[in-house]
Amino acid sequence: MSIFVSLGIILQYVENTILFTPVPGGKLGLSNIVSVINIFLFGGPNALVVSMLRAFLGTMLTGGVSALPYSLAGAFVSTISMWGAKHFFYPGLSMVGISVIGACLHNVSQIFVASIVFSSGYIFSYMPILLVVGVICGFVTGVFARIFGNRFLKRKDIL
Amino acid sequence: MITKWDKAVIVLVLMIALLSYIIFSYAIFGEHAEGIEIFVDGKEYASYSFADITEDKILRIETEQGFNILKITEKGALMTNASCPDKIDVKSGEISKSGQMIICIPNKVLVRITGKNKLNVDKVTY
Repeated sequence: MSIFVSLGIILQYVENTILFTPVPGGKLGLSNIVSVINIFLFGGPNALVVSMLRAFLGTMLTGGVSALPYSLAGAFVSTISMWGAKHFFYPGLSMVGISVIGACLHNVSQIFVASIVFSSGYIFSYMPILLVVGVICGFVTGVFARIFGNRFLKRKDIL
Repeated sequence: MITKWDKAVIVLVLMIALLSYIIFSYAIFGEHAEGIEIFVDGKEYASYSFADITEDKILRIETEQGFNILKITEKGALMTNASCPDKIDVKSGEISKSGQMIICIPNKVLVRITGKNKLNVDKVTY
């Protein structure tokens, strides 16, 4: 479990360090890969704990205190929704679709947090672009999750 | 493999995005900029009308978390510097159309252009 937390933190850190963010909130969400794999390997509750810990520690390391409510809300909502999506729709919906749902709801939840922090509904005008970004990022992370996840699932005996 | 449901989810989200974009672009965005409003921490900090701006104006916005340097021109505004680590507000560039915004999440600063939207409604309340 702690290995997964640290994996998530590392991915979040790497992403913050090397990747350019073209739009506010537009991040690839590499640590989402860890959450998706986690849901499949160890189930929803475990993934939720890991992602919340990851969001807390990773944000303290990279973004500072002001980013914390965004990060925690995003991690919470995306993990819960992916857990639900897996529970009800897998295998009709593959890891890629689950990851897209998680990424989009992650972004939507952060818009809600922003609108509360700024007490302004105008923030919602960012929603269309963040949804499109969510689809793209969720797709990419979902493909990665499937590549790595299948290898993990094959060797579950060693974990 | 990408399943049928995966595609359905992707198409659905993109459709929601398109629909909300159309709604927002009519309800919020417009061409004619009249003024500029600056909010800090949800409260109005300052506002200017473009009719009163005759030369570039540099405004230093002090917040609890740090500062933002806003340059107001005759046509729009841009953030030239800020204390926040990500500098997303500075990278946003210049805004000049009504409804456009620059936000600085760490400093809780929101700058928006006021004016009529495409429906010619002055203000939208939520």
